[in-house]
Order: sequence, then C-alpha cells, then structure tokens
Amino acid sequence: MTAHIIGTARPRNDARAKVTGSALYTADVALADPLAAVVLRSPHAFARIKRIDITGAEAMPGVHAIVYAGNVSAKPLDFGIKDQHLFPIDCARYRGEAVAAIAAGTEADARAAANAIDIEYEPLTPVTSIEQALAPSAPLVHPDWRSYEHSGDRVLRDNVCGYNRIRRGDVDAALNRAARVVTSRFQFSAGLPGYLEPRAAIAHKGSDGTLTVWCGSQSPYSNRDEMAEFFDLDPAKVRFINQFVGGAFGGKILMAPEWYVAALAMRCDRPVRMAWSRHEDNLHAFPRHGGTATFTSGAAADGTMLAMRASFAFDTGAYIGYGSGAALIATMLASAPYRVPNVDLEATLVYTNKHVAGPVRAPGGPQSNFAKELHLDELARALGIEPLEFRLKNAWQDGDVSPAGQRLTSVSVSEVLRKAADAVGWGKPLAAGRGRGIGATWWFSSCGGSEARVEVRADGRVRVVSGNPEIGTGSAAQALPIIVADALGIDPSTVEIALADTGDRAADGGVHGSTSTFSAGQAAGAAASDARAQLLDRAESMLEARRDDLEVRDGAVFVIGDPESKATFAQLAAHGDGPVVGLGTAQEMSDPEFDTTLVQTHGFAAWPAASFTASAAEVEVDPETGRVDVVQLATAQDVGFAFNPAGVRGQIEGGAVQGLGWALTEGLHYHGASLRDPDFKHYLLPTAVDAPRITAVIVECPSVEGPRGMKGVGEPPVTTPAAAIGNAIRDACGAVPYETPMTPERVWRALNDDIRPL
Amino acid sequence: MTTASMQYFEPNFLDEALVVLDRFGPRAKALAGGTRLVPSLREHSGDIIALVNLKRIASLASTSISDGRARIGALVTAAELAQSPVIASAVPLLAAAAASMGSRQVRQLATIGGNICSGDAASDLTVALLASNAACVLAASGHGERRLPLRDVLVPGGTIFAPGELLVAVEVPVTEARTDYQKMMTRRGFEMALVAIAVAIDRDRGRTGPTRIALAGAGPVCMRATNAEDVASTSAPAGSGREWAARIGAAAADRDAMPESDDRASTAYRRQLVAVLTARALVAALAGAK
Amino acid sequence: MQPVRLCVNGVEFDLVVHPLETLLRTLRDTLGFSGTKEGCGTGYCGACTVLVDGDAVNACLFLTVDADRKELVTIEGLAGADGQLHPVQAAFVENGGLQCGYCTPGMILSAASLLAATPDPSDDAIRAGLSGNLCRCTGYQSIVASVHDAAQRLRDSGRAGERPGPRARIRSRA
Repeated sequence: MTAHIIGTARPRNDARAKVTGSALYTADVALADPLAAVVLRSPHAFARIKRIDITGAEAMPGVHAIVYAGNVSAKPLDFGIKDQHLFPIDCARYRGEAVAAIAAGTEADARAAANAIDIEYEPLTPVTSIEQALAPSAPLVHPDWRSYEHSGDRVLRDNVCGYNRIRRGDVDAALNRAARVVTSRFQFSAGLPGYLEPRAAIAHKGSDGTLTVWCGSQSPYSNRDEMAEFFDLDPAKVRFINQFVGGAFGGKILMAPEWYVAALAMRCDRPVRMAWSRHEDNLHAFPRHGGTATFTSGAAADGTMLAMRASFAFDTGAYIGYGSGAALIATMLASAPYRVPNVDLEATLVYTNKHVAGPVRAPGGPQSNFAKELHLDELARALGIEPLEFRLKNAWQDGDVSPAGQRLTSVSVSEVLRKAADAVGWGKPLAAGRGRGIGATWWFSSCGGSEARVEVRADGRVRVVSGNPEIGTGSAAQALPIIVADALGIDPSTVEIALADTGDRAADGGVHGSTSTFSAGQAAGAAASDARAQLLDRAESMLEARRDDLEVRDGAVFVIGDPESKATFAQLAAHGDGPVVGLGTAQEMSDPEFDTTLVQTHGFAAWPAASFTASAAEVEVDPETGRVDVVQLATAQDVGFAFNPAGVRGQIEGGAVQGLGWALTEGLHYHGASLRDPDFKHYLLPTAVDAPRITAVIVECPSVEGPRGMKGVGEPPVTTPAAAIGNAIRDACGAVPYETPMTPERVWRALNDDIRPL
Repeated sequence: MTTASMQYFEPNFLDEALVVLDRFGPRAKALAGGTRLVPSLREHSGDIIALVNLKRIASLASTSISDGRARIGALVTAAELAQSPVIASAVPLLAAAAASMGSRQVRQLATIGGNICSGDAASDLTVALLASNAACVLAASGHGERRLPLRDVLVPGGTIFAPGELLVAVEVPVTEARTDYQKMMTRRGFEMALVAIAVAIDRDRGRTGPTRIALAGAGPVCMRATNAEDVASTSAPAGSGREWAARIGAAAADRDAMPESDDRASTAYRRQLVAVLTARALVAALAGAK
Repeated sequence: MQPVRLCVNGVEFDLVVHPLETLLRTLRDTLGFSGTKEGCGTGYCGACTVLVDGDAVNACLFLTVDADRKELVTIEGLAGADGQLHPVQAAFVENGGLQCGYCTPGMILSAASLLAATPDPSDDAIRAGLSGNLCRCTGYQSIVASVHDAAQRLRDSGRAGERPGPRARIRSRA
C-alpha cells in the first residue's frame, strides 16, 4: 500500500497541463483591458542623472502613468546594505539599469513615451573589473557609501561592500612543515541563470485599495511583504498570485518587473502588464558572480593535508544584490569536504558598474568548488598521489569538525566520492586523448518555515495547498502529492495541487536554499496526517468502529478485515461539521553550533542537515583544437532520504548540465561595462548535443534534522561538474585553463602556454 | 515599429519583383527565409519602405541539373539542400555544409540566397559554394540575367550586387571532386562556426588534380585560400597525405587567412583552426570520406 | 495590412495582419494559442516551435503572411479531439521529460516532427534533431528517453511516420 508511494518514481501532477499547452505562465494570463508597460533603461554604465523631466512624455497619446525616482518612494531596498532605490536618484550605475517605467494603452505608445522622457546624463568613468575596483584611486561606484545604512557586522570601504573570513590554526607554520606547497590562481565568469521564460508581471489596484500581482516568483510571500512595506500597504491588502514559472534557478528571487508594474498600477485604474523580451531580460538579469580566487595549500608527503589559504574576490555589480550569500558560501566550501587542520579562507565582495549579481542556483558553489578541486588535483599531482586516493585520505568522516568548528554528523563524503568515481569507470584503462576527473562538496539544507493545508472535498478529492511555488523542480507538483498521498493511502496522481497564492494564506519561505521539499514537504506531511486523523475521527462514529480497527486506503476508511464496511472520503467529508481541512506547519530550523572565535563577519558559518555530493567526468580532448567532449558525467548525491526519486534524478541531471554549461561555454562577456551577449545567440546554454550521458547516483545517509532524514536536494548538483570536468581535461591532456568557461580556445592555450594570452 | 508607410509586395513572378526592387532601390528589402531579417525588423524596420516577399515566385525555389551544372534557386532551403538526393550526388559538399548548419527549425527556413546575401563571414553554405566554384545568377529589371563568380561578389556583411538586382540562383559545376567539410564551434550544437573549411580535390585521370579550399571565419568574408591551393596543386600527396595536408593547412593559416580577434576567438586561435581543419578536410577528402 | 487564411489545428481563420507580424504574435496575441512560448525571439531557443505543413519552424522567425493557406499545428492541436494525448505527449509525461514546462510545447512539436521523418532515431539523431530546442531544467537525458519511448509508442500503434496534428479541417472562423 502506502509503502510504495513515497520513494517511487511517479509522473508530475502538472505534466498533462504542460504537455498540452494549457499550463499558464505569467505572460499567458489574460486580464480584461490591460495597459502595456515598458522600462526605460540607462544607456550608460555609470552616469550622473542631472535631470529627468517626464512632463512631455506624460502628455503623449495613450500614456497612463510614468514612474521614476521623482514620484515614487525614496525608501531604499534592503539587501543587507541599503544601497539601492527602486529607480536611481543620483547616478545610474550599470548599462540597462531601469530609470523609469511607463504604462500606456499599447506597447508602441509606451515605447514612444519612454523615448520622449527628457533625461540629461553626465557620463562618469565606470569601474569594469575587480582589479580596477580595488586599485587605490579607483572611481567609487557609490561615492556616498559611508552614509548607507546596513545590518550586521560588516566590512565596508570604497568599492568593497563585503568581506568574511574563517581562520583556524596556524597556516604559515603548517605550510612550512609541508612536503609540497602549491599556489593556484583562478578566474570565473559571471553566468546567467538561463531560465527559458523571460520575466513578466501584471499588477492591478482594485477599487478597494488592494494590490494584486500576477507573477512567477520564487518567493511570493516574502516578495509580498517587501512590496507592502515599500508602498506602505497592509500586507493583507497585497496579493501575489503565482503562475507556472518557466524556470528560475535563483534568477526570480529578487523582484524586477513586479516592482514596475506595481508602481504603475498604484497610479492606474486598469491592470498593468509587462513582459520582457530575452534581450531585456538578459540586460536586467541577476547573474552568477564572476570573480577570482587564489589558493595556496600544503600537504605532508603521505598526502595528509596540512594547511590551506584561499582568497576570493567576487564582482557583485552595481549594488550588493545577493553578493553576501555567494561570498559566505564560497569560504564555507573552500576547504570542504576535507580535513584541513589549518585554514585561512576569505572572500571580498566588490562593487563594479555591471549587472547586479544574484543568488543563482548554489551561489558561490560552482566557483569555489572549481577552484578548490582543480587546486587540490594540482597538489595531488605534485605529491604523486592518485587524485581519488588523495581525496579519500583527507575526506571528512562522521564526527569531524568543519573549519568553523561545527561537529559533523551523517557524513558520506567517501561514499559519494567512490560512487561517482565507479560510475565513470574510475581506474579502468582509458582510450587515448581521454581523461577522468572528480570533485566533491558539501552543502546545506534550509527550512525557513512553511504552512500547508490538505483539504478533503465534498466529492472526496484531495487538494494540497502550499505557498511553495512550482518553478519546475516538482516540489509542489510532484513531491507534495506523493507525501500527501502516502499519508492518505491514495494515488498521488489524484491529488490536486495549487500554485502559490498569498491569498491562500499558506505562507512559505519560497524556493531557495534547497529548501522546498524539505520544508513544504514537512508542512504538507503534517497537514495530511491531520486530515487523516480527522477522517479517522469521523469514520469512528460513522462506522461505529474503534480507531485501531480502521485503515485508510484507496480513498476510503475501511474496517480492517471487512471490505464491505467502509466510508469513502466523500462520505466522510459530508459527515460532521464542515469540510475536512488538515493543517500543518514546518518550523524554522536553527543553525548548528560553531566556534564564533574562528569566524569574522560570517553570517553562515554552520550548516544544518549537511549534505555531500561528488561528480566525476570522463572527457576527450582534441589537443589541436582544444575541443572538449564530455563523454560521461556522474553525480553521486547524498539526499538523506529520497521522497521523490524521479524528482531527485531530474535535479541531478539538470544540475549536471547547468554545471557543464558554466564549465565549458557560458560566460557573460563585457566590452568595458557593456554586455556583449544579451541574447541566446552569444550566451551559449548547452544544447542536447552538448549534454553528455549522465549517471545520477542517489545516496541516502539520513540526517538528524530532516524529515525521514532528508537533506536538501536542489543546489548541490550544479556545484561539482565544472570541478570534475576541469580535472578530467587535465588528466586527458596534461593542461587545463584555470578560468571558466573552459572554451576550446582556452584549453588550446593552456596546452600551448607559449601563446600570448588574449 | 514605425512601419506605417512601408509597402508590402508578394509578387507571383520574378519580373514583378524586379520592377518593385528597381523602383525602390536600396530602401527595398527582398525577403527570403527571414531568419536574419525578421528578428532585425523589430528594431530597424523604419528604413525599409518596400518589402518584397519572394515566396510565391516558384522559379526561385527549384533545382535543376543540365550541361554539367546544378542550378539551385535562391529560395532553396538548407533543409532541402541537406535532404535532396540530387544535391547529395551532384554537390555533396553543399549537402554536408547544409546539414551542419543551424538547427532543424532554422534549416527549414534559411535559404541559399539569403546565406550568400548576408555576407556572413562564417556562412556554412557560402564557404561550401566557394569551394565548389559556384556562380551567382543575378537578375535586374530590363537587364536579363548576368553571372558572377561567387568569389568575386562577397564583401564584409554583404555583396556587391547593385540595388534593384536580385540573386535568383546559384550555379555549381557538377564534378567528381572528392570533398570534405570541417567545422569548429565553441558549443557542439547549433552555433555559428568559429572556423569552417570546405575542400574539393578534383580527380585528374585517377590522380590528384586541382584543389579548391575555402575558409569561413578566417577573415572579413568567406574566402578562397589561393596560396594554399597553389601549394596543393604544385605538390602531390604521399600515403595518407597527412604531411601534404599539414603543409597546405599551414599555408592556408599563414598566407591566406586574415582573421581578426573578436569576442568569439582570437586571431591566433582562428589561424590554428584554419591549419588543423584544412589539413583534416584534405585527409578526409583523399580518403573519400565524402 | 494583408489578408491571410491560416489553418491552425484543423480550424481555418481569416485574418488581416501587418506584413511584418510574426506567426508567434498572431498565434499568441490574436488567436490565443498561448501554449506557443516566446523564449528568445531570435530563433535560438525553440520554445516557439510550431509545425507548418508538418515542418518544425521557429514561430518567432516566421512571418504570418508566409503561413497563408498553410496548415499549422500548435501544442494545443496535438492531442486527439477526445483529449487522448499524442504518443509524444504521453511519453514526456511518463518519462519525466519536463520540469518547468516552458520549453515543453516546442520540444514536443520538434520531437513529433523529427519522429515523423525518422521513426526510429538513434540517441545521436535525437540530440542533433533537438539541438534547436533549449531546455534548462532536465539536462536532456529524460527528454531523449521520452523521444525513444514515443518512437516505440508510435510504432506500436501503427502511427510511425504519421504527420502530427488533426486530420479534419473545420471551416473558417473569423
């Protein structure tokens, strides 16, 4: 019975709607008589805004409203540092920054009005690189940074907007004892989240003062709160109605078009709709952080790691955005998941006049693991120790302590390393030109709290209501039905799902931090148990039986041993006072303890329900052209417990190819501060031809904290492929670029290091 | 879109199209497959005052072979070139280049005429046609047809065709040449070539005859590698021809290619690709791969 | 403005369109076939793939005037009139060939046209045939599995090589 529901692969409950085209995404929502809205963007990377005059544009035909810094709240947005306004007041700080938004009867009218807004800019010298930003007399991206409010313990100076450090032991002394010390320097590119659905949003202010926003948010409840706060509205009077979301990958956590349509809707009596082109979406994207890293490590002759010094610098763009998270995570990964008794790990966050970087799936993860694992292979080679053996020798075990002093439990590093390696035939002979590589990481689970309702309706159908948005991962459309069906003994495909809608008052922290099934799943499980208890209560009286004699299966409650004596869910829903509604919540999870004396300005130094993941790759390199063929890629991921194995495999396979894209072809290119590739012609997402055969190995080493031992799933698989592929390239041909993307040209240059760099 | 004043024509016959193109001169645009024109229309449609959609002109979409020449209408698509048994046997090099181009969807739309007229330095079809000694058949109102060798018409981003003049067909001599097509991209699927090489080695009484080598992505336009061709024609391969091919590849890279660094590849890398891919194409052609 | 007659999913529509209007705009904005998605607008992602006389094309590159008197199939027209999923749709459901679903309509139509031309494609042929359809969620592996399964389903039901889309044609709607 129910034992076969959880943990088995099942189709998604939204699959039919998606294969028939009936699933509605935000741009598909048809409201009566909408206004079309567009954004006016700065053509300059850095410019003082000397004047904005909208009077001429406002008077143009069809124009209903124009919003800009002069007529919206000057309340700053808060990402830890209050360095940004809805529209810039004094300076535009990146090319493409929104300086005004216009609503009109048609998009053509709105564009014409945008072009008629009278703006005078005074161009300033932009900061276009980390190096330039950190130079002594660099222009300041935020000349007034001293006056900004900020939260917490922060390091701020000139173009530096964040810094964190983890220090343990005595690195210099340990390096002096080491048999081998190597230093490696890396550069990584910024990368787009690459969701296929460009952003869109619709907003409408009702005559009763309520503001409704139709959107595809990763976090509708927190976005709603943020918006209510900005417009000084009662959160109960702001409603976010999520639609299906065409991929997000962290790129739809921070609001964008939602802000502009809402600001316009506050001044209009009709719905205001904005749908971005890919060009515009790329201009306004929140990319993965580009940056640099320098690693120095030493080990004893037998391969025992002694010390590591790692220093990252991340380019967070014109505003801090999600820079802090990426920098914190990078230092947490820098020496993990290996025993390194002496570490000094730091990350610096830098402003430039570029895109605002965002929390792209596993922020900081691919970057840190790429650098760390390639560096460790270099060290293993210097020591003459086989790379897998070197890692196994130093791998964390149960009871080990993280760099920040967290005591680790449920550690599976050796297991995931071995399983990933086995899956690509590690140790077996290789054809000429081929090589294998491996890399591992740890990650966290998170639970920001979640509420769910399970309703048994008059017709006996079961519906699960959660605020967890369905962005494609299947958390809401696949995992929750499985969990609910398990508790109620029904077929998961019959469980109706609801897309997140703050009007449902089932608050959820949103999709980020590998949290969805972990937290919304707990809430839904609890709600289903509550519904089950209510059904049993009613059945006791209806069937005049004791609870111990009842069983729940196939949409009914049966008296055990008497198949004729039963009450269907429909009958039970009609019996008693009102409908059956089970309620459940997941409580916020607290962070484990760590040693605060080891960390400096670090807000994320211990991780709950830690998970472990390794990827291994086999590649073929054409040394004459630098072309890399990834022949196979395997990821072994410890998910603690797989409620939804099909969903886990989907996350691993999809993450593998995203990781591969960032490794080999994806990178934002700038001319100075101007984006070269605001399209999919130049920004090269992997195609089906680029994707290798992938082996997804699910490892289940139960956590203490998670439901049934679960660990978070969504982010880790994207963090290890670049590391494995990079090491495989070096194994195949003896060289590898310490720079992403590892394009054919860069591989060829690495092999021919006499060639002048670009 | 500021297209209110634009006039649209859908002529059924070539003569009608030529009259319109003649009347509007440089501000008329002929529309073929649209893969390039349609996305650009959104931003830059204002300067077009007449759009001439060629789709109804049946004569532009046909392929025929006579007198040892294949005549391929300007509207023949990449998909048709890749699938046509006639092209596969008469101009296999063009079939191979067409099959490698774009995506299935784009091949369905992209035309041979559009590829040439775009003047794209990395055009798959143009480079294959250059190595095939193709000629452009041009028509203009009141002037009948004229023929120009393809190698003489290409300029960066376009052609030397006069306003009012329409490319109606491409003519390719049918030969017994052994050919091969080699291409390198950053990604493996669906991308413009970084460098592509088309080679054709004529058969001359069972021995290696004149060799044609064309380069894409190696300069401002697709070009013939005449210096490398000279090396090929004044020497003969031995064995598998690897050494011979490497020598010719080096000549193509050093003496013919004129690549400039851009966002996608540097000069040095493009030269390397020209050398390597030219040599590989020659070896494969000698081996009778295609 | 230009008169056109489109046959979409077996239903004829007589419209007057701007000669530069793309088929994507006409299908979505005028006719309400919102299953056809805009991903990039430049032919590089395939989310807007529809079938024109059986051939998969990018609706964002295709002018509506060029669809005059042609038979179009969008994702809404692939299932049978009785709601029975087309074998390609059923295979994507059963094999987990979708996650966010945004590339799915184009991917399925692209796969359906590929299978009509190549009833038993190899892995490589499937991957090459779908290289014009980007998917960011699945890593393509489940999509390749779905297409193999769809090929089997089509062969098993005697529909191998069949042109996808409705057979019947309903007379014009304005």
